[in-house]
Amino acid sequence: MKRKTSFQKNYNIMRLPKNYLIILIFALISGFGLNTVAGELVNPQLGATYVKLTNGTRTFALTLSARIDDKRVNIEDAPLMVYAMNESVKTLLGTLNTNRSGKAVLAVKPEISIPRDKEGYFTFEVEYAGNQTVNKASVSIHIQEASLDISYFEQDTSKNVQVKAFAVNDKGVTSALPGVPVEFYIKRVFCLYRFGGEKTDSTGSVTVQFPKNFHGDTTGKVILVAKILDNELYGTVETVKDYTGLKPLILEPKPKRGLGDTDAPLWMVYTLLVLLSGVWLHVLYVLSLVIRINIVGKKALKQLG
Amino acid sequence: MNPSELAQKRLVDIVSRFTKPTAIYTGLFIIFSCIILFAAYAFITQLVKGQIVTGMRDYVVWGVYDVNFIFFIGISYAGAMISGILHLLHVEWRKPIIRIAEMITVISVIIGPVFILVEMGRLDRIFNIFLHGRIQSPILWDVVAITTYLSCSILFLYLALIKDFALLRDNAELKISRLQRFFYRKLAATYAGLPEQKKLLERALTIMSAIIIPLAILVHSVLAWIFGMTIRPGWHSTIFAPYFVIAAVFSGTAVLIIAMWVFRKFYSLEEYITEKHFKYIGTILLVLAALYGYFTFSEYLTVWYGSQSWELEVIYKLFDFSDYGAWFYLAAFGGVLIPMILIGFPFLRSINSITIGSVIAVVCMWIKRYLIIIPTLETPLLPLQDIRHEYAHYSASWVEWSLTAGGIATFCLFFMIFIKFIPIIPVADISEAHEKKDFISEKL
Repeated sequence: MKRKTSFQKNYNIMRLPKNYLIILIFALISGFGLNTVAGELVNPQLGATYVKLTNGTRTFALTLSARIDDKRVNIEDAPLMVYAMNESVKTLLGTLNTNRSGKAVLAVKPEISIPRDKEGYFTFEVEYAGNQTVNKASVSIHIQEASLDISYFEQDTSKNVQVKAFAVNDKGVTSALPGVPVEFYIKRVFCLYRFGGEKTDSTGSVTVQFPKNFHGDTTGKVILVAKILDNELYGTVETVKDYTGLKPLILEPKPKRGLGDTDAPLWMVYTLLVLLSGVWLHVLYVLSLVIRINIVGKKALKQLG
Repeated sequence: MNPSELAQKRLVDIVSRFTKPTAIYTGLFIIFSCIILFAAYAFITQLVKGQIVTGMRDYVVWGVYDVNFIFFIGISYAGAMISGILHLLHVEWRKPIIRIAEMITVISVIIGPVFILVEMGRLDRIFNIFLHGRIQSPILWDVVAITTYLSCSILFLYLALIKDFALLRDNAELKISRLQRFFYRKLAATYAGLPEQKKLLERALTIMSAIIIPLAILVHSVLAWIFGMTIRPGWHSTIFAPYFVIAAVFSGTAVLIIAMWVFRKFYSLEEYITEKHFKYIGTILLVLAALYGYFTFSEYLTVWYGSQSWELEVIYKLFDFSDYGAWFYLAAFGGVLIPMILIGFPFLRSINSITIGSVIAVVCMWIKRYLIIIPTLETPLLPLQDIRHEYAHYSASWVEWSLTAGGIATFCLFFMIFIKFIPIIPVADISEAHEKKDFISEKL
């Protein structure tokens, strides 16, 4: 093995601070770089969707997020303001904060009057004022008010569901909406079951066949849902209606089991009781035998005096 | 020397070996007592602070306590099956080891259920089990079955002891306190070896032997059904009841061999517990190991081949070395193959090797019970989201380990106390057997 010379030792010792210097320079450079990035305000992405429900309630589903290091980050607890406006008025409909997922939903009741512009459109603006790290942002929605009317009828042997789509102006006058795609659903416990989807005809109506052999609930009822989905001009418009007279669902009686049920099958209870009684009767008999052993011994002792 | 004198001489010989104070006995007594005291401290800690001091949380609600419960109920099979079956078959060589087997049964059936009480917490509400017990619940069946099993085991042990109690009562040579002699007199039930008394006792023993076998099977089947009737991966199996029974007899037999080795070694019982006993019981253990291995293979093969996603989650946890793999392979292969090799090959077969095989089997059977309970509970049906790691993954705390050690120490200590008052070798039975042997050889 070669022994290190004193020069080599010195060289190694000298190399250490040199390495540290290089690391320090890199650290400073990257540190400055980070500070520069950290100093810039983040540009958020503000999303808003408009949904009009059957009862006339308008809901705004809002999302606020940002892209940081190629990752989408939800901005929580951010105050968002929703305005309805036209050329002359800007009315605040509500202020709400985003949740942990960066989401917020504002429901505007139908009785609240919303201003329209000259062409009869609604204009909504959602604003985020920003803070020290996130830039301000806003998004506007331009909507023509539309409504859906749902009905069902039977023709020959088939059941049909018809939807009429119409626009409503500020004076309440309706006009048919041709060429608008409408989706048809049946409400299930946790989601919607889609059974059709077509564009409206020139009269603004669309008819689809209700699925055959579809059972209702135990009373023969289902809830029909028709939607204009995320339309550029009308947003999302939804209508629901009960459809009665379907074949009622007959629930199969649940099989009775022991575990988890309130009433155990009787044969199990009886079997258990018979088995246990059998064992305990034998135990009693064996104990009686022990007593007899004792009696026999006592008799023998008496005979012996 | 007449047979009665011979029996008394043998009694003095055996009892004096156990009553003589030794340094090892005293040392072990102190060690086990200290472990039990520490376990008591752990139990008080749990009572005061609540179940949070254990590793059990929202998902893994059964931990080491349940493992111990199943383990102790399992080893109780030593007495029930070995003693019961050998008695019914009138196997003569069983006599010197039968008392150890019966004592294992009674002691383990006393200790096992205590772990359930410890696990339940809130012992102040214990009466609710009896007040609001639901007959349709397998857990209540278990309570009823174990209570019956314990009663029958105690009765079975007592019946087998009557003749020895009579010998102890009549013995003038042994230094027995007045209180002890009073109990021997009462427990002997005036047994004097009269032909009618012999007949009645034999009938009682035969009935109890016949009852205790199905009862033991029932107890462990009910225990298995608590798991089998729950629709969870690793539990919901039709063969769980026979699988549990085989595993229980296997572990019970292994504990019996260990106990035989300990008593033979420390009390110089070579004259009574011979190599023949180890080889015979070892052969039973070999057959049981093969059966247990077959059940294990059958259970996991069907589940793995079925490829149900939820079942596979547990299976892969068991197969994966980064998870429970090492323990699983040790329990599945080590616990089966090592005892089989040590006992199966004649050149390896000896008293010590059979005992080593039994120790490995017992340890592996404990691990196996752990692997039945924990990985399944760590695999809920709904995916785990936003949950702290320790809430979904079980790791036993010092309290649980202390109580486990306390359980094992209590098991050993009970034995140490019992052997001071009860002859570990059934003196009367052995003397009768010798008498019969002498009679036959005289006739021939």
